[in-house]
Amino acid sequence: MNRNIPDIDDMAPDFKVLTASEEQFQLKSALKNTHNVMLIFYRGHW
Amino acid sequence: MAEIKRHYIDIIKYKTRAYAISVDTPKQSQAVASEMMLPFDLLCDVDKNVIQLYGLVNPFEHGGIARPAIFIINPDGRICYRSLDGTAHRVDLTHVLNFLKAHYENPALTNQKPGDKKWIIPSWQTTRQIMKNMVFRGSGADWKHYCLFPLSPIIIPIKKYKWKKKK
Repeated sequence: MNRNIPDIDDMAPDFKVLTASEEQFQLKSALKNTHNVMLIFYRGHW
Repeated sequence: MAEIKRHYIDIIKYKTRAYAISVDTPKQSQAVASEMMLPFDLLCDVDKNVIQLYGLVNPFEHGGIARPAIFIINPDGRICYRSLDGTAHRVDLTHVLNFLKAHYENPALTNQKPGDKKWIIPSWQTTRQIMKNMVFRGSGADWKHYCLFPLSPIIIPIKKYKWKKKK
């Protein structure tokens, strides 16, 4: 497995992507409203 | 994702928002979200930048897809929970929910003990897709996740031994 996986206590790398409804999403902005963010990485459509 | 959907109210209760991310296009993700009636957003990492940033690229399947994983990031931007999973063996969601509850009570908490993984029995839909991939795409990678997982207590030590020997 890749060794560049961020570990516990590391700062989460910020990113910008589109949502399914084609809106902009930025991790940093999502964290601004004092909520935790749960990121679920999944395999996707295959 | 269906399990996360079932427990989404609990996740919200512990001041957490869930986002699922894959390399799918917005159109594909929209189809999944509608079909499963997901209450949370799906994010589309079409350029695979995010899965590279998080070190979760699986280059051996379908031209590069994400390895299943869960990260919980606190409002300061720090990772307080991490579970690196497999296609057929994922962290038990109870472990995630228990952590969220404890973290809600003590926001400085981080999870140091990995959760137990449970074996996912493929649904009929998944089995059909695996068969289709084998027949039409010549890809045998999918079925290996499900069929070889019961052998992992034997396979993992062998792999570790080989890796140590190589070092």
